[in-house]
Amino acid sequence: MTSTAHAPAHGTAHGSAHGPGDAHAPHRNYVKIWGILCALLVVSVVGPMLGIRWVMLITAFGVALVKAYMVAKNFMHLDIEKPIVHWILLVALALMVLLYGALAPDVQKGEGSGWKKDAGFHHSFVTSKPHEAGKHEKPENAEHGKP
Amino acid sequence: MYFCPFSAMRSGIFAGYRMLPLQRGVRLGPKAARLLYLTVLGGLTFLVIKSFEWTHEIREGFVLQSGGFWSYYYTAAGLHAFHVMAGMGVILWVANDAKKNQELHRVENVGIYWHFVDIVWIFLFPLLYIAK
Repeated sequence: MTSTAHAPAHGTAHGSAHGPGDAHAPHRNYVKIWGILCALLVVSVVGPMLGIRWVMLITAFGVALVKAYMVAKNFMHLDIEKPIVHWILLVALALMVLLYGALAPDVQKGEGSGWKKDAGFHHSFVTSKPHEAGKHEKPENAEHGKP
Repeated sequence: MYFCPFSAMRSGIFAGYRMLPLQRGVRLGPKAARLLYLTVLGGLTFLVIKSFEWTHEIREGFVLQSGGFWSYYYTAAGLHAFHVMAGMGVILWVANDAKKNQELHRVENVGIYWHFVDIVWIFLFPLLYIAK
């Protein structure tokens, strides 16, 4: 990276023939995209208020996927990148799912085939000092005391 | 709390607009710099809101050791805040160069980073504030 490099007056801002600074890059209405993102945010907040589990999953996390796609496509200009960039992204997503799938059972399950967590595991998960159990614990509704 | 994603998206839209002066084929570094400064302002808004929120939670007795959720909450939100702060610093650096029409390619690069951080928050928000 040179210290005096300037973006070309025409064409690209970073040297790629099909980069985001391409004069032929698709026109984007960023205000409209932002408006859609705000509307989706409202959906993701209101949806879970219905108290229906599958609605919550779709409105909170399904909408998050859509929002992430919109940001990547329109703000990160993924749609005009080379195909290999999409493949790299897909591989990263697959590895993330694999990581979650490998770790989640250990974290979320108390026992499995040939193993069982000892009593201290959940105890220490609740408080850092077993002899202070309950000291930091909130009442029953503490779970809903999320910010 | 629901204002947080608005502030993040507000800064995001400025970061999105950052490329317009370049896409129009004219060296409008100063304009890109102004939009980047607004992006930093959005990030700062996010951090101020977080600081008030954390202060409130800690005063209520919810600290890092209060349980699995709170451990995750402070770690994830804290790491995110560090990324926001780092991004703000780099954006300021890039904006100062862009103002002088120098290193304009960095405008796009820093924008991609900022939106990556934005996407992380898009998933953290339902995990920390919505899912019950």
